Amino acid sequence: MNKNGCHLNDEQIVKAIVDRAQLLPSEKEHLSVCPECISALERFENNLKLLGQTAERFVPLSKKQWILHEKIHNSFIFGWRASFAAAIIIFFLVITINSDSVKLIFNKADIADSGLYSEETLMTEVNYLVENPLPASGLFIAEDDNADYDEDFIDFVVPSAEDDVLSGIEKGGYISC
Amino acid sequence: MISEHHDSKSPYSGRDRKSQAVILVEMAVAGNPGAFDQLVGLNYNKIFKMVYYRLRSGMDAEDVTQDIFTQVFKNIKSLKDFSLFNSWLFSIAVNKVRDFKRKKRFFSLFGALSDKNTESEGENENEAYTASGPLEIVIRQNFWKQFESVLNRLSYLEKEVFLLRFLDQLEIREISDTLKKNESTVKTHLYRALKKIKDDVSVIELLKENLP
Repeated sequence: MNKNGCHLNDEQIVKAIVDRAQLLPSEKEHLSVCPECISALERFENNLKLLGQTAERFVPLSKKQWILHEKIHNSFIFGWRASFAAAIIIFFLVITINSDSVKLIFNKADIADSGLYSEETLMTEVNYLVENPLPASGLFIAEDDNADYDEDFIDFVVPSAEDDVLSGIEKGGYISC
Repeated sequence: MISEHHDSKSPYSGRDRKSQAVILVEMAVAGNPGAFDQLVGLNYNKIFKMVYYRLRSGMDAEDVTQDIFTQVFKNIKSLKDFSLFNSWLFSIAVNKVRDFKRKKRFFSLFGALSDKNTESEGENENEAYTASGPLEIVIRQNFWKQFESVLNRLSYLEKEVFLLRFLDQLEIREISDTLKKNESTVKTHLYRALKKIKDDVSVIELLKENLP
């Protein structure tokens, strides 16, 4: 019996399971002689032991084996080399992608588009010139602007092909008087 | 005493085993590859079980166990007190399991692991079927489900201390070294965990159902 003349309670049983040294001397003494308390303690202990054993029984077997440390070591070195090589490759890829030649390849479609654009511009200019063959500074000799001059004046400036003087030149190469 | 009782059952608590482990650790730290392999062989199943108790997935437990021993291999030279190897190993294991759970929780937010999980669960079931009958599978699944519901009533530290003490069979001092908490804190958490478990009727039912 403990100092109160009672059996150990649940708390004291738990305390005894955690660490029997935590019990008071009277409790220890009681536990050493009381079959009821010993039985209660053993029952709980057995339950805990059984729980551990059952849990252990229900753990599946591990199929994997420990990878030898040499392999780990080697794989570490290989990994280091591989990552270094990968870093270099990535570095060169980045440089190459950013270079002008690659940019040209990637911008091929843009270049084709720009060619079409310049052709269109050229054709617009050509069409404009077809419609307006003279530059703005020479427009004064265009027909519309010279409506004031009559036909006689034009004949005087540019004689017709049937004119004698001109025919004389064409026939003999000299002017006959 | 209970601790003595557990110690006598624990395969790694014998004095010979401990001294053998210390010698192996010493040799492994000195760079002996064979010693390290032996050390792994001695501890692999123990750590695999420890991880499985917490993750309850065979494939995840295998991966995490591999990670744990990889870290042990990389850092074994930093171990000063060879007698603390067991606690050091469990400390790495506890941290790895926590990291894994954290990562899993993070990825589950994005649904990235949902497919993988389904696959792995399916594979685990198949593995289990090849090893034992369907009835055994059902009993096993039921046990882990109930076990999880029992553990869910405990806080993180209570759960960890309880598992380390009664499933991983560590002593209070070793748990204290593993979790980097002083012994009285460990005892307090263990006391609280046991009180909750003792009052829990489902634990008794769980044990009754799964008696071998």
